[in-house]
Amino acid sequence: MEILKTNGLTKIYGKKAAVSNLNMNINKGDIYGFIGKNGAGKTTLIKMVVGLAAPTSGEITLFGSRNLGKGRRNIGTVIEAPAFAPNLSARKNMYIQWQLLDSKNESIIDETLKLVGLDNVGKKKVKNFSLGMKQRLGIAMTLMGEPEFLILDEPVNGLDPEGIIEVRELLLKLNHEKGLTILISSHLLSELSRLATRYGIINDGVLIDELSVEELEKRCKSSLKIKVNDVEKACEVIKTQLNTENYKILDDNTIELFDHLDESGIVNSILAKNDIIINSISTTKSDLESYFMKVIGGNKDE
Amino acid sequence: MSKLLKVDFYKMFKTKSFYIIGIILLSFTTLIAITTSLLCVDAYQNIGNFTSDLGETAIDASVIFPGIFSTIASTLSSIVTYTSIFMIMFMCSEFSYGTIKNIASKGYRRESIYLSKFICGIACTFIYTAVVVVANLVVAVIIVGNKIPHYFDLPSQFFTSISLTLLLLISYISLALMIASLIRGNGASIGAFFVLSILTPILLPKADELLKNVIETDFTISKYSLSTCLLQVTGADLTKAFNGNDLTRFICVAVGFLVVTSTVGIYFFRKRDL
Repeated sequence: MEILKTNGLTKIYGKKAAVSNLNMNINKGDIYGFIGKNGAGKTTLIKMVVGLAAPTSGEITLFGSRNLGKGRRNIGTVIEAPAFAPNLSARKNMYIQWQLLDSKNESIIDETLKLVGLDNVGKKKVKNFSLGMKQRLGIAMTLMGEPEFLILDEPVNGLDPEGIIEVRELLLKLNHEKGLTILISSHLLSELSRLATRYGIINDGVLIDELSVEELEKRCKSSLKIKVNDVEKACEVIKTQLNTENYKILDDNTIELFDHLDESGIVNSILAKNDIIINSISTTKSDLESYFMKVIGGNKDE
Repeated sequence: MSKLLKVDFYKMFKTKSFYIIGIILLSFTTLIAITTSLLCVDAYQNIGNFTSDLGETAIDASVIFPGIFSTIASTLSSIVTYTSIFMIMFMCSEFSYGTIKNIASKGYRRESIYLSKFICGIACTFIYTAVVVVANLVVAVIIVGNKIPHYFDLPSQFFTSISLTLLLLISYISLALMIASLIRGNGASIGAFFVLSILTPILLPKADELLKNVIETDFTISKYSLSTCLLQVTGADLTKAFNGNDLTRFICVAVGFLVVTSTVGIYFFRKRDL
């Protein structure tokens, strides 16, 4: 079942398209990692989905229906930063959010606060909370009313490592146990790679890639980096004796080989037998960050 | 809509500014009521002494002293400032804290969100009006008591005056809400509201003069401003019935402002991103 589908979604501010002809699909049970630089259009897209911004053109379908008002009640959202009444306690803020829902069971307020570890903050006002506590309260507010779809914009911002792990485990638990679908945008790509099952990469308002973890694995495939004294001769040996042309010459001394990844010893031995001096041989694997930089046309090391 | 109203009323009664502004209003009202009552009692005694010196026996106090209900009606115009400031702060806090996003992202219609705030503003106006009425009455009962005859007589036009005043105050609330939803910042919105409130009574007579000189017409714009109508209603003699034309004008101006400001406010609140 498609939880979110956008068709040609566009948002234009003045003369600039913040989001351009965007087609996105999020299926039930996905943890969708939404990646993009600052100003790429992530928040604008999320705002259009939850009804905070009107699209210039295009369509949004939520839970297979165009009745967006009904669909949006089934979404829990934190956009940009969690929003609270700072002079009220966590529970009172939760109570306000609870009143907006269709739920009649007030006990979910305390249950949700317990779930995020804020059950013992008493009457402490939210303005006196740490950033991490605010983030947790923000997540707690999204979970009220048992939504089927969570949209979280930078949910681990400001959290300490322990807090990041807690949030990650909580989201995974909600996804595995309750089948919650999650759209999560984050700049912490390493963190996102531990959570997401699908990715969407947006750049300058255009969704330039949408792929699953498996597809990402394939695209971030491993390689053997071999530094030799004679690249041409080494290539010839690789072609004739290792029977593969799946390699790339990186520079005058380096070859990147994409086959025989688990046989570096054999590769080494065959090259050596052909009087090629091997200066180094190592296994490399690109990660989400490298892939992201490659796709948007940047350089990870810049 | 009922859920939105519940949330907004809950927030309103949990907002410090609602009580702080209420206390300031109560303090000023009480202070003015005490001063007015003491002056009335003192003046009545002086007149009593003066007339007894002249050998006269009776004085119609109601001719000289307007009575508590006329005093109340005349002081109600001061509520405009307090209710408008509260309304602006109440609305702008939703934008500055970002809590408006929590409501809008739950699929509620923007018109409903706006109207819910407006209804809260009306409730606030009623509460502050009650504060002014009760404070004036309590102070008058304590200080004046039976010292001035007919001081507590209810003038025939009191309820008409109160109703018109409330209608005009609600129009002001609508104006304040419109400004707050357009500007979205506390300081700038309060500033804009006061500039409008102060400049309008100054500029409109100039516009009247201009009309008279250029088009040579007796038509006056200032008659149709909220501030003029409010001053005329609160300053009216409550023992005499309102002139029919004036009554129609007050209602039309109040309703006109209410409709225009609400329409503009809702239109831009719907149109703009949150």
